[in-house]
Amino acid sequence: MANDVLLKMEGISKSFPGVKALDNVSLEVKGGTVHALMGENGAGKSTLMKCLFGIYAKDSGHIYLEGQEVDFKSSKEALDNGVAMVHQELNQALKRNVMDNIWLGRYPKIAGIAVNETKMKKDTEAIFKQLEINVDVHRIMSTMPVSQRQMVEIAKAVSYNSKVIVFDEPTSSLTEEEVEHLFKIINMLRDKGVGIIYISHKMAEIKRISDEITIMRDGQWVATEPADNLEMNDIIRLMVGRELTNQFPPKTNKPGKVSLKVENLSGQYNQLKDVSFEAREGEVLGIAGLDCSGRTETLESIFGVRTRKSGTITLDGKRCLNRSAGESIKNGFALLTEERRSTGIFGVLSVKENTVISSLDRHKHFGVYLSEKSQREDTQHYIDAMHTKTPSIETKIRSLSGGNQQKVIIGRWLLTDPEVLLLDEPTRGIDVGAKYEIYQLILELANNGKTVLMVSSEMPELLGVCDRIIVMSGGRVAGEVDAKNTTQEEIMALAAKYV
Amino acid sequence: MEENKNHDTIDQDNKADEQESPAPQPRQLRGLYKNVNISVRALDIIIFTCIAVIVLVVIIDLL
Amino acid sequence: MNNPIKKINQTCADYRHMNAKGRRTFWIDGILNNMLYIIMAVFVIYTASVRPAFLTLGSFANLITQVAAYLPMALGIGGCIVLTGTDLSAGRVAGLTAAVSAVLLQEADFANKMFNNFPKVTGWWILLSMLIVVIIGAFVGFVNGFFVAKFSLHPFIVTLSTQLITYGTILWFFGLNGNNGQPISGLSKQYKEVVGGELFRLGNVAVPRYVLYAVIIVALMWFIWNKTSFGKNMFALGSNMDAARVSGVNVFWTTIMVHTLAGLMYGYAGFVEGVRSGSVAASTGLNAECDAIAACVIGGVSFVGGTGSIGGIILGVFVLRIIFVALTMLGVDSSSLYIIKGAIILCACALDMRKYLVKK
Repeated sequence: MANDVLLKMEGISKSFPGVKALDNVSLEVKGGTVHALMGENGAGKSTLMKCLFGIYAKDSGHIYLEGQEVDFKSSKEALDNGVAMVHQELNQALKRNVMDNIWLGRYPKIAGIAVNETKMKKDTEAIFKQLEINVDVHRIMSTMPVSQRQMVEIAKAVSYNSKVIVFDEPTSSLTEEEVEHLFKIINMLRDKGVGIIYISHKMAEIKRISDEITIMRDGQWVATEPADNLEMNDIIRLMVGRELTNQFPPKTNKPGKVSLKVENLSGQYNQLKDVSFEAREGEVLGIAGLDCSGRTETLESIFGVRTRKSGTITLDGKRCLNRSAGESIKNGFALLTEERRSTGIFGVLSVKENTVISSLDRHKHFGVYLSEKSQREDTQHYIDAMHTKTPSIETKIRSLSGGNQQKVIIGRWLLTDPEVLLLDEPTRGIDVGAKYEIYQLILELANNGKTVLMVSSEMPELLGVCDRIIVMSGGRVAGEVDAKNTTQEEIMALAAKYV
Repeated sequence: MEENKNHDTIDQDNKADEQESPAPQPRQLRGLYKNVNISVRALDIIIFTCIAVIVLVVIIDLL
Repeated sequence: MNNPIKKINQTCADYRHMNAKGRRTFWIDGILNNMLYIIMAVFVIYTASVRPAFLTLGSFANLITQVAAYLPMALGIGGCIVLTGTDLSAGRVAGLTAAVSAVLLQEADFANKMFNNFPKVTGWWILLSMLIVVIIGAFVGFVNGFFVAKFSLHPFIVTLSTQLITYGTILWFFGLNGNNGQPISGLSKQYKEVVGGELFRLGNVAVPRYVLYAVIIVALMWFIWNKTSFGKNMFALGSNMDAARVSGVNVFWTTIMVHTLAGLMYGYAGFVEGVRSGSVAASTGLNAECDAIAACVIGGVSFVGGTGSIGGIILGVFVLRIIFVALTMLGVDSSSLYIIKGAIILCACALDMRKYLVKK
């Protein structure tokens, strides 16, 4: 298949004060192919794309689109010239409906003034039909689950008739079925001659969908190979620069007696119905299920940030009412939320302030005065223990990478000395190296006798880290499996039970 | 529905985070500025207009 | 005190690494972010050259006196802004408490005394009066905080209502006992002495006692903001309410306490205000929150929430006062001062937004 080079980025370099984010990186994308871009956090993938779209001004290098040199000054300019992006971040106008979001900025107009709603609707439906997307064009974005919003985002990129489309972590919020749909769409685009850049951490997907793979590390280009020439181990090795013999640390934790008992948990304002299960000391209990199955709601209900209609929570024989986060913390619970960006970190505050916020009482002298020294000591202790990469403890947390932010938040919770840790997608959007470190942390917690509940959408993760897995479906517990003896298929079957 | 809360306020903070993607202009802010959609250019214009007003008023008054 | 030096060295090192475009952005951002300080410097230099009296010690005494007067309200409102809110009732609350203090502390034999049956003004009575009005202020703050916390109403709306209700209360108060809306004057000598008596002299100008009180209040607020868990909770809450809630911060009580504390500050500001201007009218305190909010924004307490410092607020009040003292000295019309004030507030807000928007 003779494909011409559609997009060529040559010798791109970009520095920020104190850090060389890109060092002479080159990338060539041929039309009608899927070119995967891989690398750990901080490798420079995002920065490279930002240089392409004009969000950052590159220091040096050239970009050619279909042979012509281009230098986009904004995403809009890139879009108008046929280079589109499907963001991981979903920057969408949530209060508006699907149509508005797709045609934002280029509404079809009647006589140049009034918005032509009929044409808009027709065009939107045409695109959805072409991509086989089943979404009501009038729905308000905020009422749709994240996965459907992502579909809209994809439709938007396609609607620009782009020659090059960049997909940034497109499957992070999608179910298996939706991932299949996405791949169908990508294949459709590929057949049309579109050049696709696919950024993801999910190796299996990359191997499936891409034709070529480019790997970056520490701002530098490392390798570009046809996908068939690379095995998963090769990719990991190139990404990380070292051999990672195992994806998961060895499990040495031994679950003991039952510590947490959740009985007949039902949600007042959500779909949870009669959720019951037990968890033991020293155990990692996985919670699997499809996107809307109620996993996050379960953790949040246990922690007291979701209203319960009924149900009891018992920890070590003691009944816990957990009516609020504060009360739950006092009872020995900790909740690592799903979206650290919106509900986890305090962006403008420092690493230190983010770490100590839940355990301020530890630093009080005379009941009022907060000791600076002990705050620093606690923060430094967890930075060292978890190898968190940060310039200093006073750095604003928002300048840290996702994996390091997650470590800071875990440190925050560990300082509250919890008995039960409720982790909601603890490794979402985190690179391979950091993921391994977080698995180590989780297993260490289990080794120390803590009870860990872990919600995850990644099967390998559930099977590799957990002892038992409960599968949720439609707000109910569909079943419970033993991680050592089960298969992905069994879990999937249970997940579909009450859908 | 496993809806992620609080997506109204989109955090546009400066990060070296690899997961962050280029955002379409104009950007949104948090807090009291939550529903403001404005570009840097517009802000610059406002700033310079204000300064011009101040200077003009003072000059006119002193003449 | 290593940090400022380290920061300067770091900035120099970074600058050397920058390319042409980076340097240009550095200078543009640098100038814009400090624009109001530059304006202040321009005014100071110009006024000093035209009116040498501006740079005397006496003039400086006048300046710190003004700063001490405007500071408490700014310190109070600062907390509300950190929570991404605001407080439009500040001025009227101060007006109310000024009126109440005045009435409690009028000269015993004053001809037009409002109420005749208050005890003779002594030191204790003054202290008690201050406590009473401070509690009144705190109460209004509590009401503000309660409605914001309990019903998730935006502080703008809640404090707008309290502003009007308070004003109504003021007008009603001024009509009591046959007073018919007349300004309250004839304040007791002791009251005036305790609040405004001479602390020391700077170049022939007396610096009043309330400058010392302001210093004490600054120390107190600094302690609260930086060394208590309440302060940490306030910043966390302002930065990200959801994350704060999940992290165990009591969002309800922290919100209420921030507004209550603010109200307390307004109460104190009112207590001082009567002595400062000699008498209290129904219009006392009108729009005083504008100066306070402007000072906070100039001083780095951003509407984005979660940021701000006591030092910044002091600086903001200082900058604003210098500009207006200078303008007054230059003989600028008082109506023009309003125009300028409005432009400064808009400019400060735009600069604040720009700081948190710029990314390249």
